[in-house]
Amino acid sequence: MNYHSLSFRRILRHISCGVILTDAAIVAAVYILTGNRTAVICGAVVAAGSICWGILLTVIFQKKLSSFTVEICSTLEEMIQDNVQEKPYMEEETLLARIVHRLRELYRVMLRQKEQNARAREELQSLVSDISHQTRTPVTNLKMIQETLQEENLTDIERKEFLKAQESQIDKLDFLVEAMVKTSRLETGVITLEKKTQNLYDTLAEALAGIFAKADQKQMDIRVNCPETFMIAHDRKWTTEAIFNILDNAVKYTPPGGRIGVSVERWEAYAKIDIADTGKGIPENHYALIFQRFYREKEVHDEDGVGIGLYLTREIISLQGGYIKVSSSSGEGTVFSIFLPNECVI
Amino acid sequence: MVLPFENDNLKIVKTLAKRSFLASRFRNLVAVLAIALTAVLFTTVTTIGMGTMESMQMTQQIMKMSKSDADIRNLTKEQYEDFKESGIASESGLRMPISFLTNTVRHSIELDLADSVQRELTFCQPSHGKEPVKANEIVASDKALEELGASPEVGAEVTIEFTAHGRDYQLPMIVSGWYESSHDELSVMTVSEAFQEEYPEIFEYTYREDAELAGTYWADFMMADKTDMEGQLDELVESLGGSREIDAPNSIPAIVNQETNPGMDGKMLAAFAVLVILFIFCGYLLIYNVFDIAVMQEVRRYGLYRTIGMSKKQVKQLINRQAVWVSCMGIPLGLLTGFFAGKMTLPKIMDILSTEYKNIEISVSPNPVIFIAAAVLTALTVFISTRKPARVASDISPMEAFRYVEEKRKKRKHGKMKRRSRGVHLGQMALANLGRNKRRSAFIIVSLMLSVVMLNAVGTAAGSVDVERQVNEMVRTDFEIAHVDTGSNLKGYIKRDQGVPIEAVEAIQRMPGVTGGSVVYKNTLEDLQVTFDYGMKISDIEVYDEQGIAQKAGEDPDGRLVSVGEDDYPMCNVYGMDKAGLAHLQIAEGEKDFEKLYEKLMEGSSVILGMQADRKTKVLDEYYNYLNVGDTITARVNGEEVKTYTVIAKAALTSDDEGFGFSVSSSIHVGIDAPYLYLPQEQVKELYQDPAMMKYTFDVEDGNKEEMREFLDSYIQENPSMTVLSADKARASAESSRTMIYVVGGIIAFIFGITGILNLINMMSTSILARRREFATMQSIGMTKKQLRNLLMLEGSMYAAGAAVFGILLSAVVDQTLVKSILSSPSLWSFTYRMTIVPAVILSVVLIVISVLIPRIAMRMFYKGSVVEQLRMAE
Amino acid sequence: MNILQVTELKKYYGEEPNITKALDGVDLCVEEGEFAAIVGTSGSGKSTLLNMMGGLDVPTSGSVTVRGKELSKMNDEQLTVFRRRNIGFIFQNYNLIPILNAYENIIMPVELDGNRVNVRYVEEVAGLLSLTDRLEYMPGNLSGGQQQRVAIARALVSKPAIVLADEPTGNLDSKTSADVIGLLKRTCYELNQTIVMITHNDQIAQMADRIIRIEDGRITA
Repeated sequence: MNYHSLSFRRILRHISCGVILTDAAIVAAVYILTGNRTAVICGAVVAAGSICWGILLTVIFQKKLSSFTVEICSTLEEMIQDNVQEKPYMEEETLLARIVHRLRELYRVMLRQKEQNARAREELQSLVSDISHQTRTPVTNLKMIQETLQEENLTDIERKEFLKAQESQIDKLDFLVEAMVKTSRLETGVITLEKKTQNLYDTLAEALAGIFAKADQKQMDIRVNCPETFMIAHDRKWTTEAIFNILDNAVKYTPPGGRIGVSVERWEAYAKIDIADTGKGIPENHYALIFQRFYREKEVHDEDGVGIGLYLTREIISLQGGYIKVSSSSGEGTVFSIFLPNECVI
Repeated sequence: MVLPFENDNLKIVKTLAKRSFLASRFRNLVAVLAIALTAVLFTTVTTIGMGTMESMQMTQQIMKMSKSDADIRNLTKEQYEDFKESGIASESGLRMPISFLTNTVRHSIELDLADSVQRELTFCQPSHGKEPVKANEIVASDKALEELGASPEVGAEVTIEFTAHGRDYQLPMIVSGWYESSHDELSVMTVSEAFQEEYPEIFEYTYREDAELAGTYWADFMMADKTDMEGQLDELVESLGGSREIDAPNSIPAIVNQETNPGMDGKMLAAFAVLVILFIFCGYLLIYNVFDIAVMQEVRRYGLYRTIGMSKKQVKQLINRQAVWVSCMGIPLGLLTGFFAGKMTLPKIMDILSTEYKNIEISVSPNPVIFIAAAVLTALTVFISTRKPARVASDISPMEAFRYVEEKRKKRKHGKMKRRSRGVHLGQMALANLGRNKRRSAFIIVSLMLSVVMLNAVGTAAGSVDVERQVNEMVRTDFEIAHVDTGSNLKGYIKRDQGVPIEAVEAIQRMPGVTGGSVVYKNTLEDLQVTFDYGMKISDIEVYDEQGIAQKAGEDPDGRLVSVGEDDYPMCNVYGMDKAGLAHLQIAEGEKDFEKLYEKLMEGSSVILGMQADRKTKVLDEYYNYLNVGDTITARVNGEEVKTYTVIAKAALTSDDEGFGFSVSSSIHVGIDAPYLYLPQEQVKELYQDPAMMKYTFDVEDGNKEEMREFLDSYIQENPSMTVLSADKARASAESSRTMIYVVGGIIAFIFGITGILNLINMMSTSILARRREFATMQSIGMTKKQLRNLLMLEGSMYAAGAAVFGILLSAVVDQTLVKSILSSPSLWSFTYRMTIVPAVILSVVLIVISVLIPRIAMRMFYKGSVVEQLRMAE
Repeated sequence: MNILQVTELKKYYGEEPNITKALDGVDLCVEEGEFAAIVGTSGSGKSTLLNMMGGLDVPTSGSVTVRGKELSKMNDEQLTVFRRRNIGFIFQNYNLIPILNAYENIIMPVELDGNRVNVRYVEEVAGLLSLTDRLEYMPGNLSGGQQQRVAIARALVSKPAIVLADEPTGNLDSKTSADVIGLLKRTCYELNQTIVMITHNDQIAQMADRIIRIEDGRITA
C-alpha cells in the first residue's frame, strides 16, 4: 500500500464514514430485533462517545506530530548555526531519536569536511614553511660562496674548492626541490598511481639496482628471496621508489660488512615485502617518528639525505592500499615490512 | 503492534524469528507437543462438559417425553385457535388426550390424537412406517405393541380398549408406524385427525364439568421469543380468559419445560472450573519449562543480540512470535486429538454420573463452542507461560555473549561465598547440580509430584467404591420377587391384587439351594380396618382419589400428611416379615442384639420402628423421627383397640426395606408420612387376618444361582405380572462403575504423568546437551564415561525421588483431607473412603526408572568420540 | 576531538578483605580516527576496561564518556540503543549469528534500528575487506579469518563512534592475524573510524597508531 500518496484528510473521511455507518447499522439491527428503544439510545450514545474519543485521539496525535516536527526542525537549525546541543531523548526507541541520530551524523560529516579542508590548507602552509626552511641553508651557503668567489684575492685552488662546494650545495637544492615537488604532487593528488598487475620481481630488481653500487662499496651482503614471477597490482615507478628509499636507508645506517635481506611472501590478503638489515636499529619510541617529513636520526646528520624518504615510501604504499611496519632491536638490525594488497581495490 | 512515534524496528525480528524457528526442529517439536497436550486436556474437558450437558438435556427431555419449550392444556377449540393466532409459538403441535388404555398390565399406554409437530416434539414419530392417516391407524411404541400382544411391525393389528366420557370402547386398529420406546413403563399411542371425524363424541368438551380430559385441546410448542417465557405464558393464558392456577375454575395449566431450558447445574460448573484451573496449571508447568529451557540454551545468542543493540521489546517479540507459530501448530493438533478422546470417554463418564438413570442418550456434536473455548484456554496458557521466559531472555546481560557459564542473575550479597569441602562424592555433585537452578528443579519436581498425587487420588476414589454398599441399598438378599406394579415408580403396591401369589413362593422354595427366605406382608389401601394410635390426632381429613381408589388422609399435629383408615386413625405402613427378613434390618437405636430382639418381637408386644435415614451416614432423619424407643403404639381393628406394642428398636431404612429396590411408591401411597412398623409376619397375620404379600426375598447358594436365574426368567415369561430383582445385577453395575473410574481417572492421571515425564525428559536431555563442554572438561581430567553416566543417572533419579517422596507424602495428605471430604458428600453415598498409596508408589517407581534410563540413552546418542571432538561439537 | 574519555575508572569486585581490583583508576582519552591498542597480560584488566568503554558493564566509580555522552547516566535500555547506534563490537570468537548469512550478519545493527540499508556502503565495506564473493555464505562455511572479517564489517556498517575489538586475532593464526589487522587498519583509515583494540600480543599491537599498556588495573607508561 502506498502510504505516501494517501492524504490524511481523505483517510479520515473514509474512516469516519465507516464508523458512522457501522454504528448506524448495528443500532438499526438492534432496533429491528428487539424494538427496544433503550437499546437504540444506548447504542447511539456509545457511538457518539466513541466518535468523541476518536476525535480527541486525532487531535492529540496531531499535536504530537507537530512537536515531533518542531524538534527536528530545531535540530536542523542548530546544525546550521553550528550550535548543536545535547538531547535527552537520544537513546530511546523512537522515530525521533533515530532521525536526530542521523542528522547528527550528517553534521559530523560536514564538520569533518570542514576540518579536512582546514587541515589541507595547514598542510600546504607547513609544506611551504618547510620548503622555505630547508632551502634557506643551501641558499645561505650559496650566497656565502658567491660572495667569497666575487672576492679577487683567491687562489686557483681555493676558487676550485669553493666552486666544488657551490656545486654540492646546488645539488642539495636540486635534490630538495625534487623531493618537494614529488611530495606535493603526491599529496595534492596531481600524480595518480597507475596500478597494473605486474611482476614484483622486476620492480624489486629496479629498486635494488639503485643501491648495488653503494652497497658494494661498503662490502655489504645482499640477499633476495622472491619468486621469479610474483604478480601483484602496483605502480612500478612509485613502488620502485618506495622500496629504493628503504634500501637506501638500510645501506646508510648499516655498518660496513653488514647484511641486507629482501624477501617476498604472499599472504591471504596482502603480499609482504620484508627488507631487513643488520644496522644500528631504531628505538621503539621512534617508530612513529621516522615516517615524519624531514626527520633524521641524529647520528646520520652528515650523510646525504633530507629525511623525506620514509615519508614518501609510506605515502606511496598507503595510496596503493597497503601499509608499512617496522620492527627493530637497537644494535642488531631493523626489518621494514611493506604490505601490498593482493586484490585490486578502489 | 508498533504505535506512532515508536521506532518500527521489528522487521529484523521477524526475519530472525523465522530463521530461528526453522533452525531448531527438535525444540519446536517438543514445544508443539507440549502445547498440543495442553490443548488436548482442555478439549477433552470441554468436549466432555458440553457432551454431558447435551446428553443430560436430551435424556431429560426424553424422560419427560418432550423437547418443547412449553406446553398448554385444557383449552377449548376457540381457545386453541386463539392460541395459534397469538403468535407466541414458532411451531406448535396439537394434542387431544383420549385416555389410558385399559387392556394393559406392565406397560401403560396413553392414547392421544396428535399431529406431526406434536409427535416430533414429544418423541413419538414413527421410526418405521408412516404417520396415521385413516381413522383406524395408529402409531405406537414397540413396548406398547408387545404389551398388546402384537409384534412391532407395520401393518400389525391390535385391539385397543379405553373409557371416555363414561363409555367403553374396544376398537381394532392397524399399526401404520412404530418407534422405539424410551420408557419401560409408559408410552404414547397416537391416532390421526380422521379418528376425530370418526368418533366425534369422544371429543366433546366437558372438562369444566367432569374433569374429563378427552375433548380438551393441548399443545406442545416452541416459543418464538425465548425471553421471559413465564411472563409470556401469563399473558397468553390471561388473553385466553383463563388462569394458570391449578385450583382456579378456569385453570389453564401452562408450563415451561425445565428440561429444555434448564438452569446451569452449579455443581457441574464448579467441577469443570476446578478442572480447568488444574489443567491451566499443568499446561503452564509444561509449556513454561519448554520455553525456559529453550531460552537457557540460547543464552549466549541473546547476550550477543543485546550486545549489538537489540532492545528488550525486540527480544520479547522474537520469543513471542515463535511461541505463536508453535501454538498454531500445536493447538489444532491438540484440538482434534482432544475432541476424539473426549468423545470416546464421554459414555464412561455418563455412566458414573448416573447409576440411577437407565437410558442416557449420548450425543456429542462438534460444537464450535468446544473448540473455541479450548483454543482460547490453551492460547491463554501459552501466553501466561511464555511471559516469564520472554522477560528473562530480554533481561540477559550482554556479558553472556562472551562468558561461558550462566551468570547469576542477581548479585547475592548473602549468598554462598565459600563451601565446606565435602569431597567429590558423585552423590554430592549430583545434588549440587540440582541446586544450580533451584527454580527449574522445583518446577520439575512439582509437576512430577502432581501426577503422582493425581493418580493416587483417582486410585483412592476408585478403591473407595463400595460395591456391597450399593448393592445393599438396592436389595438386601440375592433375589426378590414382587408384582410388576410394586417395582413401578408410578403405580406402587396399593391393592391386594398386586400381591405375590403363594404359588410363586412355593415354586421358588422348591428350587434347590434356597436359604433365608422371607415373606414380606404389607398393608394396602384396601386394608382400612386396621389402624394405629401413636398419640397423634389426625385432623382435616379429606378424601382423595389419586390412584383410582378412594383414600382418606389428613394432617397430624406437626403438619405431616397421614392417611387414615375407617376409624380416622392412621393406617401407617405395616410390614410383616419372617426371621430372615427382620434380620436384614439395620437397627440404629434400641435393642441391637438380634436374637433378643426377635424373641421380644415374637412375644407379641414389641415393634420395630422404621425411619428414613441419610443414605450415607445412616443418621435418622429428624423430620420423621418423632417417636422414641419405649413409646407405645396401640393397634386398632375395626375401630377397637386390640393390642399395644412397645417400640423396642428403631431401624434405618433403605428404599428396599420400604418397598422394592429403589422404588418406594407403595409406602408413599399407602401410609404417606405415618410411621413404618415392622413386625413378625405372624403378628401381621393376626392383625390383618389375610394380609397380601408385597414381596418374597431369599438367598440362593452360589452353586444354584444360575439355575435359579433361569427359573426366574422363565417364570416371569409365563407370568408377566411378576418381576424379579437380583443382587448380582446390581453388583455388576456397581463394579462397572468402579472400572469406569479407573479408566477415566487413569486417563487423567496418565495425561498428568505424561506431562511430568515430558518435562523430565526435556530438562534432562537439554541439560545434558548444554553441559557438553563441562562434561568434556571433566572427562579430560579423568572422569570416565561410566562415572559421568552414573552422575547423570543420580541427578535424574534425585528429581524422580524428590517427586516420589513429596508426592507420596502429599498424596497421603490430600487423600486424608480433600478426597475424604469429597467422598463423604451425601450424594456419593455409594463410596466408602478407603485410603491407598499404592498408585503413588507405582508411579514413583516408573518415574525413577525413566529418570535412570534417560541418561543412558542420551549418552549413547550424544556422547561419541573423544574429548576434543566433543569440545568441537559443543561450539 | 576526543571521541572517548575515561576518567578515574574503577571496578572492584567483592568486599574487603577479598576485594579484587580489576580497574584501579584509569584515565584515558582516544581521539577521533585513532587506532589504539591496549596491551596487557591476562588479569591486567584490559577486558574489563573494554567492557566499560562499551557500556557492557557498570563501573564502581569513575566515568566513561563517548561522544560527549556519559554512559553511567544511562539505564539498561538506553545503553542498548546507544550501543546499537554508536559502538561496534568485534569479539575474539567472531560471535556471528549462525542462522543468518554473511550479508545479513553485517547489516544486522542497521536493521535493528529499523533503517533501510545503504547497500552501496555495505558493498564498499565488504570490498575493503575482500568479502564481496562471500556475502551469501553462512558463517559455518567460512574460515576463521573470513568470519572475523564479517565481524569487522558488522562493526563498521552502522558508522559507529568507536569500534571496540576484544582480542580480534585471538583465534587466528599469525598470518591471518596480520591480514585481519591490516584490513582493519586500512578500512578504519579509509572511513575515518576510531578503533580501540585489546590484545596481549605485542606484534599485533605494533600495528596500531598508539599503544597503551595496562597492568594490574592501571595504565603504565
